[in-house]
Amino acid sequence: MTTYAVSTPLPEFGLWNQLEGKGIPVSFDLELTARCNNDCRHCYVNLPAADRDARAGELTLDEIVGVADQAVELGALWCVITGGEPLLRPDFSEVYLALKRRGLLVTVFTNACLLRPEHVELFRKYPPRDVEITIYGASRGAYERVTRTPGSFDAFLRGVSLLEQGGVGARYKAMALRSNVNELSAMAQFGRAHTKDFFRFDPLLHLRYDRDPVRNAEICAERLDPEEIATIEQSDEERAHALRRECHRVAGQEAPDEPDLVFHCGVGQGFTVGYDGSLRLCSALWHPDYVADVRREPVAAAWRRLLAAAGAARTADPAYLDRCAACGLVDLCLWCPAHAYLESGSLTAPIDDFCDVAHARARVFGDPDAEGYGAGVRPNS
Amino acid sequence: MELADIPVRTSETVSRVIESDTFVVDVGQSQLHDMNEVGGRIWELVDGKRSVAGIVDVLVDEYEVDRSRAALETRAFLDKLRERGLIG
Repeated sequence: MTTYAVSTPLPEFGLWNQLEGKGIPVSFDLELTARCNNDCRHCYVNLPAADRDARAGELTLDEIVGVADQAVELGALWCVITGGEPLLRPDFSEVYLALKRRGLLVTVFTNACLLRPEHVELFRKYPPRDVEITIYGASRGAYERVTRTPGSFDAFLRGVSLLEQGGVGARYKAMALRSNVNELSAMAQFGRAHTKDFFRFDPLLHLRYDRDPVRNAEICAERLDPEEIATIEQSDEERAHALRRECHRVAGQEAPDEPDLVFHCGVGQGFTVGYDGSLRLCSALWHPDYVADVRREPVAAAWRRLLAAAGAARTADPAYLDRCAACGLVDLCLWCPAHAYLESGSLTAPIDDFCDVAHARARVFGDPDAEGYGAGVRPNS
Repeated sequence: MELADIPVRTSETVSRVIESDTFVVDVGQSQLHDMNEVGGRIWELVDGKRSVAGIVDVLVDEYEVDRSRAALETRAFLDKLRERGLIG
């Protein structure tokens, strides 16, 4: 007889690694709604809070419970509730509790503006794994320049305060945008002052799921220049350390055995269920070949079908094979088939904006003397 | 925990088996408890009716292990579950 057991507090990722490759979707994202109380310039999903069509198309509580049951049956342990803004759903608490009662660890992504005492009470009684709050600015001016919603800054501060008074921990994140980049260090200061966990920021913006050209133009206008991104990352000690480590890793990386495979990422370790019942292998993968509908197909069948399709996808596209598939720096950029599709309509198109960021990062954080695949800076084509 | 004690699950928990491991989540916490096959079997046997000695009887019957070692390790494991608030 062997030793019996271990008890594993989260967060830990050994378990994730242990289950990886065993055909088990360890986690899934649940987009409760595409609607949001804010109207952020850079957002890839948000629709107006009062959008009747979007609301009418949302999965019902019973449908969500059905999805959760099927996900648990498949082996899922962790669910991320996201949106839009999930707290817009009047039945948020029922959804949350239903997930918890199925033994799922639950993370909630929110802008905190709609947090009410009853949510805090719920989180106290049934703690989430994490509450992750996005900061859009450190001042009312910058915050509401991004959200385009008067009163949202005060609502955000009120939500943060409610959580803190209730003793519910949160972690914070920010997107570095043209509209708030001057306040990035102040946002980091705010985030780190209000969490025992961590603050992180992301300077890479991807385009909208609905491919709305007007909104996509707004997102592009919020993108920072590649050199600017590398500079702000250099000024953040944690970020700079992580990027130096990543540059070191990619410098020693072997070339992929099968460069013509389209999906080299970890796609399929989980899945995303959209507000309308769409099931994708990851939240950004909207190519129609990889989207199912949980209202028409069981979750397990849909997930396995899409996973098989992704695993079999190969390309002869020379633009991809000669550039991204051969690039040792690809892990330093946002490029992946899902984002390539959002940018260009092709799963294999190189994206110059992302490429420029990867090369800027390599120049700033890479070891100029490193050798091997991934070392050095390849010229942009 | 003594052999005569009857362990009882104390909180609202959900457990399931993935591969050969048993994963137990306490709904009132955010902690995942990962038990191997034998640990999962003990968890299953904690039904509020069976004593620790009764659990040991089952394990001796099902696994190739002598009774004294089974008793020692079962008690230690149950103590650990109690420390984590899963049983009383």
